[in-house]
Amino acid sequence: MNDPDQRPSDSVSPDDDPAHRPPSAVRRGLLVAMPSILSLHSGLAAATARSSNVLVLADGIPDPDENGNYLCVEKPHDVERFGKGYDLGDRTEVEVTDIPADRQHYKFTGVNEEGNHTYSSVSAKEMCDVGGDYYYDIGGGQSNRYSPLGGNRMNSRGNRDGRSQGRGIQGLSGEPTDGSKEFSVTKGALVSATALASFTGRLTTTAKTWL
Amino acid sequence: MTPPTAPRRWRVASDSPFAWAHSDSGHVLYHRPSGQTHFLNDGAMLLLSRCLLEPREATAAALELARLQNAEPDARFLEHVSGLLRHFENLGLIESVAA
Repeated sequence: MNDPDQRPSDSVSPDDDPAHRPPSAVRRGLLVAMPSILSLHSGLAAATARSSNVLVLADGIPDPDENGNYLCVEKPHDVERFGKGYDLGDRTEVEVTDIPADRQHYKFTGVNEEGNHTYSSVSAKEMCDVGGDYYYDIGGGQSNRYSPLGGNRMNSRGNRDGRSQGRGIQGLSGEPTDGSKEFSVTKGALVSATALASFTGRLTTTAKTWL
Repeated sequence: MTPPTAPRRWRVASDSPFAWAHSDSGHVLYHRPSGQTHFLNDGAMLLLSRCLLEPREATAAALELARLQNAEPDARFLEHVSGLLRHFENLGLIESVAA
């Protein structure tokens, strides 16, 4: 068997020196290359064949659409992630959440020692990647929380008839206060308007637009 | 006393399930029954196109492959081919036949 670390000049007799052996013997002294196979994943192969059904996801934060919104496409549970896109296959409908690009959004981060809710700013990309409930300022320095459908609603100080202050978000139901709307983002990925437009006529988008 | 189990043998199905495309960098195999596409090197191609046209045990297939490539196999190669044949079977490229 060949020693890959051995040099021809290292204590090799002429009979063992490969340079002195006939070619056929040299070949038989070599290790045979291992046979190998690389299989195309069925989803990849099928999607490649149907490349027009792959909705390309944005790399980073794309430009807003003509309405000034970032477009967050929900990832359906039965859709495969194909490279940088969703292989939509024969699907004819996807849900898109419009996230206004000219608005600063916040996520709830906890309750401080004074019992006040704390928030930090969050990008549209994170909101879409993670999904969940988010907040934005409606003016006057006061933020309004936008709860999930059917969930609780309260302001940034956790005040809801005083019951929730200092106790975090409770699973209370109720009607939204004046000027507040629901705002939740379904987990998915940002896409450009151009990418979504390429499916015009073949795909229906169910829009979630929060005002 | 339990009789020893006969070694498994494999072969390619007899109904020409493969469509090949050959190039200097490798071989593309389209498997018609499954609709899957595979990329193979010379050794894997020879296994499917030459060595396994008749039922062979793993060792015999490995030795035949080494002979076709004019090289000497070692224990690691024999073990590798044995595992590869099981993988081929899982992919549906070859079938197990009774001894």
